[in-house]
Amino acid sequence: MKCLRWRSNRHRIYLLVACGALFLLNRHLTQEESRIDEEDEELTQVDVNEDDKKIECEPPGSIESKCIADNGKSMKCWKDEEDVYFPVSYLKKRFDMTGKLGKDGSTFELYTSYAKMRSPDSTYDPLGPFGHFSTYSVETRDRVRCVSAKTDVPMSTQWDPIPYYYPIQISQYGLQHYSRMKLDSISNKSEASPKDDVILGVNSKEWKGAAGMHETTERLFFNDEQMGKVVNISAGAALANAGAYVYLDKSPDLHVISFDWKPYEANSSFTVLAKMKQDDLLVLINYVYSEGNGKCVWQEEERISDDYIVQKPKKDGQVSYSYSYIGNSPIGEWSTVTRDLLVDVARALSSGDNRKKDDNVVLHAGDLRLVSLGFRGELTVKQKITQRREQHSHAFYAAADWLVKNQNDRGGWSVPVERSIAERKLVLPPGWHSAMAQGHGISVLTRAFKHFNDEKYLKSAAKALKLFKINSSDGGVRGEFFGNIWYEEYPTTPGSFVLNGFLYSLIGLYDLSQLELMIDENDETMRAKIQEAQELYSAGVRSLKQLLPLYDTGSGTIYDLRHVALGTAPNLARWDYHAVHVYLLKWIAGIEKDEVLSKTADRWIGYAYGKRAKHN
Amino acid sequence: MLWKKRKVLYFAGISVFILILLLLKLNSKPKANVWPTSSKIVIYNRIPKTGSTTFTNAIAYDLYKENGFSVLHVNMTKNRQVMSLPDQYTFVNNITTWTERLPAFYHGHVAFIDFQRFGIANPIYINIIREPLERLLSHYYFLRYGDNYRIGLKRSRAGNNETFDECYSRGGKDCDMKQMWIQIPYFCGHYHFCTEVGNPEALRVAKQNVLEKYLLVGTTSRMRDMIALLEVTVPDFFKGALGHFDSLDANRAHLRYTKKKIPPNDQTLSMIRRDEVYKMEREFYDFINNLFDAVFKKATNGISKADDLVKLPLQYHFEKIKPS
Repeated sequence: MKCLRWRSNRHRIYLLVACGALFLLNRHLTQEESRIDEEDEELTQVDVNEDDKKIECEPPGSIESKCIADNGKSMKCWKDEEDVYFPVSYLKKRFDMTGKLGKDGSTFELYTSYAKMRSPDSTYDPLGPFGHFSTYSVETRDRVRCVSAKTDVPMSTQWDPIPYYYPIQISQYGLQHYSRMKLDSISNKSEASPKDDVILGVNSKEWKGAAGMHETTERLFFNDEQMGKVVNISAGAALANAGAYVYLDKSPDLHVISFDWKPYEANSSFTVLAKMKQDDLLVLINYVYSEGNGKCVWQEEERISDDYIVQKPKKDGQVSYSYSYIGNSPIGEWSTVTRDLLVDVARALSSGDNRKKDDNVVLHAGDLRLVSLGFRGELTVKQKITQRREQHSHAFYAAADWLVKNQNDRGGWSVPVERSIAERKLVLPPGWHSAMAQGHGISVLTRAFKHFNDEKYLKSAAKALKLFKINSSDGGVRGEFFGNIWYEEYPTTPGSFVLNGFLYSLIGLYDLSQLELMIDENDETMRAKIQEAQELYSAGVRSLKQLLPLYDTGSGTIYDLRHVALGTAPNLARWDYHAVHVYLLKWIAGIEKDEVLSKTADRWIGYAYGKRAKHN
Repeated sequence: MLWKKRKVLYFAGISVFILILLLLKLNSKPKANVWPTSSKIVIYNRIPKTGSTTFTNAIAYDLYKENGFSVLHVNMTKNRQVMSLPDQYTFVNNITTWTERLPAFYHGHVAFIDFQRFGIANPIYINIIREPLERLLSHYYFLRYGDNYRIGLKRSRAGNNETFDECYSRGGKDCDMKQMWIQIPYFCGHYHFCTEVGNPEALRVAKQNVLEKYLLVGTTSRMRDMIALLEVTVPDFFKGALGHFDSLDANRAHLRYTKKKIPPNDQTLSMIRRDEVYKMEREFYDFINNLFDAVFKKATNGISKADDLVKLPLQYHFEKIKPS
């Protein structure tokens, strides 16, 4: 019993307690360490996942083996009793294919073409929708810098960082909106029956003004003989001032605003406030009489103090952008403003100075809602602000009007920037013309002539024919390929003979040639012009039938014939351009009711699904 | 004889001992004064409607007994936030010489006073600020509907049901952006331009004072982080502050809750965000927010969690100490 006595065991117990304490301390310390280890694991987690994937991808019942293709590097392949399996990454590269795992993850599909082959749905009406342009969205393309507030047409930055007017883009913008308008009228969603439109500002009480703060805003309501109920506004011109404003309808579908106003001074401006759904960001879009250093939209700078000027980041909850409005409506005269804020906000948010391709912001109906429309400076506004879904008619009108106003005395819409192709072997200095621009322009103008019933559009279309008869070397668009005439998208010397631009120019010529039957008055010069279009079209179709086989590789198509003159490798068409070739060829085959063209197009469709021409 | 000799020896020994004690005491006396009184003073020049009541209670009135300091409220006549220069002198003199009250925590709605101008080191200055629009809205509706803290008290705009939007669109006085110019002047101090609405020099000086004169400035939205950081940077005062704050129930951790607040509409919001005064106040707020965030991140070794702050071991140690 002596061993259980306290005195004799005291030291042992002390020792035990000390050991226990040290053990707990040790455990505590090692626990701290293991926590850090967890963090390390998180960092390497990616690798672990990749290993899993590799294991999954191995075909069951097969063994890894080495394989070689065309004397290349050896690859890792798999082999079972029946077949050998090559990596998809290799197949994609070698055969120019696209592949992806199906949605359920159980099947893998390889495509020859990533682009969908389409053909026109019905017989072509030269005054109907233009091809499948109703599915276009010119204004969301990343190379479209903005829809200018001066001219209401898009501006491009494709070949020059300073925005410029590219006539093909403007015509496509017009044709896109015309096609949508036509399709909407068929499906009874016409702008002409504006049952969803909201009219605001009729009641004087709707007009608010931030009085008192720094600027006083005066509003004077009266009846104008010509315009009816109007409000005369006098407010501080600074953009920081909200001026006199009207709350807009909150429905996210109604992103187009339209109103009549008469500004009295160059300080006058208006601003739409919009709110982004995603992050509650408030976006101010100002329309100002300023040249903006050649930019069509720019972010306003914030002046904090004399030596501190910044562009406010989005995290501050509000950004402010301005569109150059100078030149749109003359000061002291009434004019109508129509803007699609969905487009203007998206283009503004994409307008950073050092933007990358990924920075392109595309917005859809529902992504924002409008808050208010405000006016500053000295001006009069009609008390009728319309808010609607679409602006097809206005966009089409803007494009047609731009074409009429900007046609040069040779009847052309010249491109103000240099274009070089084939590694600068073929260079077009600024001011060049394009058969595609001329053709597209005619397609817009013939439709505008009938839609707005204004002869200025017809005259402009007729004038556009002139360049088809002038050789590329003389600033025209006419080329020649071994005795066959060609309408050049890029009128280089030697010729480049781009196929799709040529085909679009033929459609334009056809559109004008078909107008003959619809003119009532006995205008001989116009009749002669329409006859001229008919002849140019027919000559073009003859060349097409002659030269078309040259664009056929037996497994795809060739974009142009630059290789003939330059002696380089042929410029094979990407699959999306191949799809354009197919669509246009079917289009013209439909007009011509030509079996050979149609069958060629069918063969070309086959190429997109891996079919190839036979060997000898 | 022997006894007598011993007596002298005893006497001499005791005398020498007393002399040594006296010498030691004389030497130690100035040493005790090396710590200036200013480091035993914390001043929190609180800004109205930034959560200052909650904050003051949590770190001062609830902790003074435990940590042994005094708490004193500086009541400014007529709620003015600035003092004349003579008043500043007496203020500085009073609080640095009132030794019975040291260590002391002073709080009050007063703009920054620079003790250095009177030849004395500054005390420890701390503060918290709030997003300026949130603060103004809180103030605006507080004047109308009061809060849950002093329920019986009738506020100056009681019975006025105008919303902030209505007030703003008619250019009312209570929502004028001049009311926004509060937090910058609190930090700028007592110079005449500090209270000049929108003065860029005021913003500059306010920022400079935050950097040079304040130990810590937190934000209302991160009050807990601020308390945690105070606990480890001024432990003599705020030891146990975080644990105490966490133990408070929801009511006490948010003492004064303005009864009714209607958020401004997008148009009002947009107009305020365009206002120069708001932009400056916001700029100042962002400056402090970023500063606090960086300090907090560094203090928590990049983890930014208040709980770790109190537990975190020192990130330095002494070594190669001589003489050993």
